[in-house]
Amino acid sequence: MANPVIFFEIAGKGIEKLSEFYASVFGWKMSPAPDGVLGVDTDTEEGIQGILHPVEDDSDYSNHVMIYVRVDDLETSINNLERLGGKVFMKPQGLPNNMGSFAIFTDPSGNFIGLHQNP
Amino acid sequence: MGNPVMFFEIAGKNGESLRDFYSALFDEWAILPFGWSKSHFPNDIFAIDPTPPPMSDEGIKGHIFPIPDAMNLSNRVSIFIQVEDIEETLNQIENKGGKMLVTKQVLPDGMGAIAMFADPSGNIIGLYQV
Repeated sequence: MANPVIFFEIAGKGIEKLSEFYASVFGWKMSPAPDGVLGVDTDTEEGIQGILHPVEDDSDYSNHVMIYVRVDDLETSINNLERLGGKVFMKPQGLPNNMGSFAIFTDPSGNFIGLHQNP
Repeated sequence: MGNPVMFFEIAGKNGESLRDFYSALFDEWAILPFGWSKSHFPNDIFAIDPTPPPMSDEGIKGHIFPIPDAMNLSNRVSIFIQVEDIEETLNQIENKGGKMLVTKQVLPDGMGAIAMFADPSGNIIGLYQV
């Protein structure tokens, strides 16, 4: 199967301001999800959908943009990326509501990239 | 028209090793030099088409951007949002607490135009106009 880029994540502190910004500039529709995450519906048939992810105010970490690539099997992809010089940042985690599972890795330049496997 | 997320960018200092990494990891990503003249970009950009026909039409296309050594940036992932009018959107962005980083740039070969902005949390996001 191909490995399409199917999802985006925009993360930062001040999630209310971030949400207002994307809603008012781009007309995106946000909906509450677990753990303070906001689902993003860009209200378009084209392109991909995503989430806004909160970052705790006291975190050392400030913000990021991520993309998620769909794969057949997370474990196989993780074995491959480690062999090729990538590193696992977050091991496979199940998502609620039968939405599959995901993992996060860093590529050789240090970019954080997500992997997603359907149920 | 809405404002869909239509494109992604993966950028890093060593473009060829990034290309080799993603080619090997996602073996159906067709990663090819973009072929723009060096007058536009100092390093070759690698276009990614993760969904060449007749395979899946899901997802969005992207590129690997080799960051020139002189640029004070090590790596980043970004997404591009399609808008009707880049200048009008940049005005709105500045009114709403975002910041313009790169003003409207017309792409060669009739490929439209791009701009870059920072959102209120500091994320770097692209705009694309057909």
